[in-house]
Amino acid sequence: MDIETVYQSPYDEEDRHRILEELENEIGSEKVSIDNADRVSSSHGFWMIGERWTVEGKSPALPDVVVWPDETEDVSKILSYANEMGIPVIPYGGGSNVLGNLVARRGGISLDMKKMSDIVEIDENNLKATVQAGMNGMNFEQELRRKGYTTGNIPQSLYCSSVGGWLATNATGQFSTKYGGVEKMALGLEAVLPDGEVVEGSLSPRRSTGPEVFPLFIGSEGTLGTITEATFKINKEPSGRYFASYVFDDISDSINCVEEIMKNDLRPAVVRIYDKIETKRHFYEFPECEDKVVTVFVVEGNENVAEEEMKEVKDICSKYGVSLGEKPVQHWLDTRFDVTETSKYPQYGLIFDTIEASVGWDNAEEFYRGGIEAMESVDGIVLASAHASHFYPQGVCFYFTFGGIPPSSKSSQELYEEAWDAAVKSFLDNGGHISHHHGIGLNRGRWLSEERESEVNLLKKIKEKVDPNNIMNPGLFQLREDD
Amino acid sequence: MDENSWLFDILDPKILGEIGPKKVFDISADAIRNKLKNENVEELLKCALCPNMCEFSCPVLRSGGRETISPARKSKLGYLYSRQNLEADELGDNPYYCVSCGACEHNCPMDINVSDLLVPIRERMNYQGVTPEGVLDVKKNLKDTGTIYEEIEDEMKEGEEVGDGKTLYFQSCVARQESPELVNATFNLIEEVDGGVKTLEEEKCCGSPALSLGFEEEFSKLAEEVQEALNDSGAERIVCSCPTCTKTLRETYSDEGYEIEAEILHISEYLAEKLEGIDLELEESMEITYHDPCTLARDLEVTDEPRKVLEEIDNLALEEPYFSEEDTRCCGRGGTLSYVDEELSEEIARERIDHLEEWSGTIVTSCPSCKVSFEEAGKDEVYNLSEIVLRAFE
Repeated sequence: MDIETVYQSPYDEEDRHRILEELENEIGSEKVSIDNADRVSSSHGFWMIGERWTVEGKSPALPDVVVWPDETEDVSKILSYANEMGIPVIPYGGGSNVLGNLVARRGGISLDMKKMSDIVEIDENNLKATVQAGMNGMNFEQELRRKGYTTGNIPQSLYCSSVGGWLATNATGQFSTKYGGVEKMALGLEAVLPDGEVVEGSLSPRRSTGPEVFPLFIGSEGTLGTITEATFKINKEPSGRYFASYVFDDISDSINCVEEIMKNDLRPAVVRIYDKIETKRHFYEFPECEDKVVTVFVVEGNENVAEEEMKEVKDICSKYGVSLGEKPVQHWLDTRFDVTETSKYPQYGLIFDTIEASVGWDNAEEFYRGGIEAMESVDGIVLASAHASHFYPQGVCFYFTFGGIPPSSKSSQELYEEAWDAAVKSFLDNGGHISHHHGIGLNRGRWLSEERESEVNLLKKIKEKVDPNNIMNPGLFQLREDD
Repeated sequence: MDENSWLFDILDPKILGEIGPKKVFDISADAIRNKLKNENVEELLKCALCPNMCEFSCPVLRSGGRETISPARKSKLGYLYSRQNLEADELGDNPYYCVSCGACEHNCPMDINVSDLLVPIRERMNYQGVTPEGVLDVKKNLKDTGTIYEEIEDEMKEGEEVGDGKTLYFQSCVARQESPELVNATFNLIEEVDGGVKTLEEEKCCGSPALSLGFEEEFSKLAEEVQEALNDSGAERIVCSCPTCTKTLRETYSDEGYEIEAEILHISEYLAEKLEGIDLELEESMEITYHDPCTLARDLEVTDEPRKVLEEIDNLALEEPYFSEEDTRCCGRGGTLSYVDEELSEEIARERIDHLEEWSGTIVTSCPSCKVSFEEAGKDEVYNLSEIVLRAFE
């Protein structure tokens, strides 16, 4: 193997063979590998700078060992062993993560969860479903759909993410304005702690019996343990679904329009505001969209209620913009999982990424404009744009995209990091959160203390108590000195 | 306007200079492309850079549960191997972990078929002397017996002829060796419908397995022999039980420079045409579900014909499964997987059987490999389309 890595593992060939042998004794030889093909495959998920390195035949890092547990007991044995030996463990679900969460920066064990992908139970009576954490999101959704249900969590990564990954990153989906993020959907989970202890917690429909523990794992990104099973609320598939789209002269009109919608107790499942550049990017086939801001709406639910709700949404929209009918919505539905740009542009030498962040209504427009200006100000950045895709009565999530070609004075990594730094600084300056649903990973760890200043000590205490040997995805949140 | 025009329009000319954004874009692309050896490597890279948006549909990954055998990771391994970052012996059997079901391509906006991308990788592995043992066995069999088997235990219908000989039945290796009841039923059915049928004196493999495994020379030899035998037979139409044979004779041969003079039909296409208006009835009522073979449904787009045939039969109730037509799920026996991991092949079959049994305990399909795969996974009530139609005739 001739693959240059950006981060080096402290383990050598001899260590790898020793760990292999010891893990084989724990869980069986067919569930452990130190083969280079397996190590390379679990190297980084979908981190954009990692994708760029892939083009060059490089890798952010390589895990030393890959394991494939097929039951919770296996996970318990693996973590218990790793904890005793002080070996890092990186839980790996679908591998869709975009922030370097799955990079074995200090080597160690990649815990590939995909063999744990069964539906445990679909409880139609109590409207909940329990599933193993390694199950692919789309496969879970298909199993629900054929029985007439949905979780309502439809992220763009639906086809390539795992349900454990959804919870570990506190993810959300395209229909979140109605259904909420996974933190609203989860009724409980099973997780394995670094010392091998299995904890289970679930509730239905609600309880008041002390602080809930399972939410600790939601958004923990594998730093506190490994999620092995989860229970979700399920919803009957909507009997009514209505589409509408509008064009606005400026992004401020569309922001004001959706703010009014959200503050009037209306909850479209999908609302997406595209700024002028993104309108051009996604709706180039619609001449009416030239130099405009397009916004698409999907309202769904009980047929009669949804029909009335859409009428109300349209009434508000008409005050700010012009109706464009249903076709742009259908176009969005048809193309919403198309991520082919990520396959094309790294080949062209273009450095790009997306950054999602959220802010309250009072600062929404400044937040958007500040983010765009900050990214544009970086030498080498030639593209900065955004859409808004998740809405609340309290505020909005903007999803920024930047792209650039490194000038001769900068490496691709420097350009990438400068663009990120500029964007995140502007988010914090404008009173927003640095992430809405992708998580922290390696990319955002350096700002976490600033974002959550008053909670950092508690987060540190929790980490130190639960994972004293810092084996679980170490270095991710940069909460410890040795991070 | 096209899908990239938005980008060219907004790239800032101040930064990019007088040369213009489009030009810079192309120069940058060329610099990287020049390092790539051929188009296949470019496609491997495109696939490798995707977050695996087809992974939910890949039966090998769903049942195998290892990131390494997910579609985009196999492409990544192929890309790194092509760049010489990885050696042939470091790839393991992973490039063979594919059932050629086409689900990846069906769900790919770039129309990438990972199975096709892996063929040149396997070719180069063969060239470098790194070929899995099970694959070498198949190569030897293709050379020694002209089939994928060490020996064909029963010669079945070879060299038989009834009637005018205008319709030739191409049986397929799998049906001849592992499903004699299917061969007998299909032969008798064609005779019943057409008044005549014949088979080749010596039927050899269509060559598809050789091609997928990266044995170009063996494929060429078989294709030449099969081409000669079929063209010399004087048949006007060739009816195949196997969708892969149908595709190979109909499409792959012409892509590779061979030509079969007769019309090539899959048995379901043939029956849909011939049975129109004929009264068919089962003596005892039967409820079935139909399993679409991947190659037939996705590559040949033949999904209506078998249903049309089944719907012609009185006393037969057809239950449509959730994953059907182009969204069908694999039986586990396609492609190259079973040569390196029979156990996983069987697991995929069991997953499919479980789904189908939710609709009916009796499965009908129109591919010999699917039938055999389900039977080997423990399913008894599985029939080929020909068997059911023949029963309705009788």
